[in-house]
Amino acid sequence: MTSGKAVMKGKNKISANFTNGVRRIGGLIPGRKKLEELRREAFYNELMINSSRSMVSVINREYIYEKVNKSFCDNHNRVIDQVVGHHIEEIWGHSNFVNLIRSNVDNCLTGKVVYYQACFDTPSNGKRFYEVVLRPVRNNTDEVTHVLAETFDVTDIKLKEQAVSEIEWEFRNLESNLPIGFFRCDTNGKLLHVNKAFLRILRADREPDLLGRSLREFYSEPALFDLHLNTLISQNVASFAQVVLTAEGGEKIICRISAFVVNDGSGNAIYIDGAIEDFTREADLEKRLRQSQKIDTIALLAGGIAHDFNTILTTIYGYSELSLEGLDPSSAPYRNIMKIVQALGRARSLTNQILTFSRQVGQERIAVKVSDIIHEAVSFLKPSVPEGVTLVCIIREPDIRVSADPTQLFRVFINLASNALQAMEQSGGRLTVLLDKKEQVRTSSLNTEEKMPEMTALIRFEDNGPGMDEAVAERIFEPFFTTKKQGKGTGLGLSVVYGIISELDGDITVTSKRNAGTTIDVTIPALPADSQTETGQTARAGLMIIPARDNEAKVIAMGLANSGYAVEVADPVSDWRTRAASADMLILIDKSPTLPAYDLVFSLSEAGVTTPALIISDFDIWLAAEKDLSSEIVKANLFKPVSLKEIIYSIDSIIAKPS
Amino acid sequence: MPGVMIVEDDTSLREMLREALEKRKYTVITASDGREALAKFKPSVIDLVITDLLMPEEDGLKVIMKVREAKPETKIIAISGGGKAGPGSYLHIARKLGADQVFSKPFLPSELIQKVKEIIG
Repeated sequence: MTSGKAVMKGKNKISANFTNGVRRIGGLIPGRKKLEELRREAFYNELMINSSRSMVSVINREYIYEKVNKSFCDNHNRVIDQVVGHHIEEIWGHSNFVNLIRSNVDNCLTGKVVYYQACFDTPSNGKRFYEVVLRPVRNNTDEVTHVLAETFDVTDIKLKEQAVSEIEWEFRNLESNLPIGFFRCDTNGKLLHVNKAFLRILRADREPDLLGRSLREFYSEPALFDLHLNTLISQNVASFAQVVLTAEGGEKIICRISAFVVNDGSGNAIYIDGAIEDFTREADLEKRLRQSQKIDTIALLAGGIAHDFNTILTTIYGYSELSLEGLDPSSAPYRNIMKIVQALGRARSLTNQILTFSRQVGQERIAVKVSDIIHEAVSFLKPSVPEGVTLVCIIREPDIRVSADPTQLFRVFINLASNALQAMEQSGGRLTVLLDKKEQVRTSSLNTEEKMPEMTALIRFEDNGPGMDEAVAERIFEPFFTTKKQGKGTGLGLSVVYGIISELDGDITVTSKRNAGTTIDVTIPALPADSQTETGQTARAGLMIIPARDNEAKVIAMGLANSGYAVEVADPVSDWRTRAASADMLILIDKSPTLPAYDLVFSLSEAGVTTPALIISDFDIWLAAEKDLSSEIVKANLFKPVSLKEIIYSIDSIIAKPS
Repeated sequence: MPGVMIVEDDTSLREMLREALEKRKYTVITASDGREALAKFKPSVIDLVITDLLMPEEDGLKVIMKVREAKPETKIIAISGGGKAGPGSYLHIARKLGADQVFSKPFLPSELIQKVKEIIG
């Protein structure tokens, strides 16, 4: 069968043309001239239909193709005879016919124009997307006898649509999930659109809360916004680093802002598109890294000097002591040398502090219940709290433990708390010492990979005193940096704190504002709640510590007990003298010149007690005692501040390694 | 009298310690660094070695190990002005290596002499 045939075989013979939609089939028999015209018209119609890239066909009520165009045949790799007279099912397959085509054809046969889309697998083109239009064809009596089917290949359009919607979807996904805040604003900075990250960065809840407001409002320095806007308008594209924005609620956010101007066809700026990135954490880390590098450099230098200085001090101590031998204590040279020794005591304390700051003093680390040390520190400080100042202690985590030298922790707490108390001496106020826990990601170095957060003990010292400027707050851990009046402090207290906390892998942060108080947060990695305190080792020698009312003595006793010693705490005014004889060793902590440990020792000695003793005293008290050190029972002297490690060394050298 | 070797790179401190010990009638041999100390060490004469830890050439920790090797019963006192090696202080390491006593500088000669007396009589 050729494509030019107008009369089809099949049940209902028809003559049809496809122009102007669907014309009725049949009609009056035309005249000869008219017939010629009709033939010509039919020829052109056939030509047009066969040139179409769409598949065109006429289907009868039995689902048999009565007419198809060239494109239809080409798509199915068939000649016309292999289609015309054949059933739809035969051409398109059982599944397509039953599930899709039949119902649509039936629908059309009821007189409706039917549109549908489908994906068909054709022999010549493979899987393609088609849009199908079925139009009813009526006979003279207005019955629908046939269906005219036009099938357009819409694969390319479909694929493009799909690609566009995928890109759009991906872009939307990026826009809402990236941690970069996107915004669009008008040329004055009025916000027209912001994404989720923008809201997050500026701590806003909903987009409508920000729309219509100017970006200028969020600049901590509005004048800087004007400058940025001018730069942007003149350069079209610009990036600004370290811009401080004020989030909703007042928090300062350090951002990088990049933006470009969108112009209309004639080059006029219509709006600005931009991105903001939150660099607060990085900026903070960088600042802290810079500070800690600076402090580490100072520590290295100072530690080296202190080390050499200690050697020189030993020589001066030595010759001073050698010179004292044989001198009359009432003579001028004796008194002068004693003054040299006294000054040496201060020098010694200084080098000790510098060595602690520069982390040159190893710490004996044991499991310590932080709340115990805080209690002792607070009760130690209570008598010296200035008038008008309140000291409050809040313990939220009474059982949290860290691995530390309790004597050093005690020193840290005393230093931090007394600093705050001193700061409020004039103004009055309130110091709150808080113990809590805090999950923290270690931020000691910029280069380390992101670590899992670890549980830490948080010890906070919060005062509402005069506060500090940022420039001061940044430098308070540097040695010899002090804002106190001459003679009020060495400027080493906080450096020592820094050294001790660094040694414990802890962290210390200062938040302060002039006239708004200071908060110092110390965090130290917490020991797991279920870990055992290391007291399981074989019981070490029994000891006795006096006096019991001394907080520092209690901390030392705690440290020794946790290190495996059997410790008994006794008070000098109680019956300790009788019990001293049965102890393996005595540790006497000298607190005041009014009850010097040396006097106690000598009274013991006289009473015939031979228990070896270790005396821990202030250097000044030791000097004031002016006793001969060659007492039988005093085996060692330690001067405050003393570390647990030093005490254990001394104890072990006295009783575990008897000579 | 018992023999004491003092190993210390600081001349004035070394001389002070020599004076203090000689006054108590100890026989004193001095060395200014670890290498000299090991060269001069005579097991028959020396009962006690007092050594600084941070020194040029061979350091004090080497001295302790070599002396322990040469004559295990030699008594050792380590002195240091502070300083750390790895996780522990030098004094801590010296103790682990077998020093009988450690002293942090500064210390009083009387404290040292008392210890020396206890250790070697």
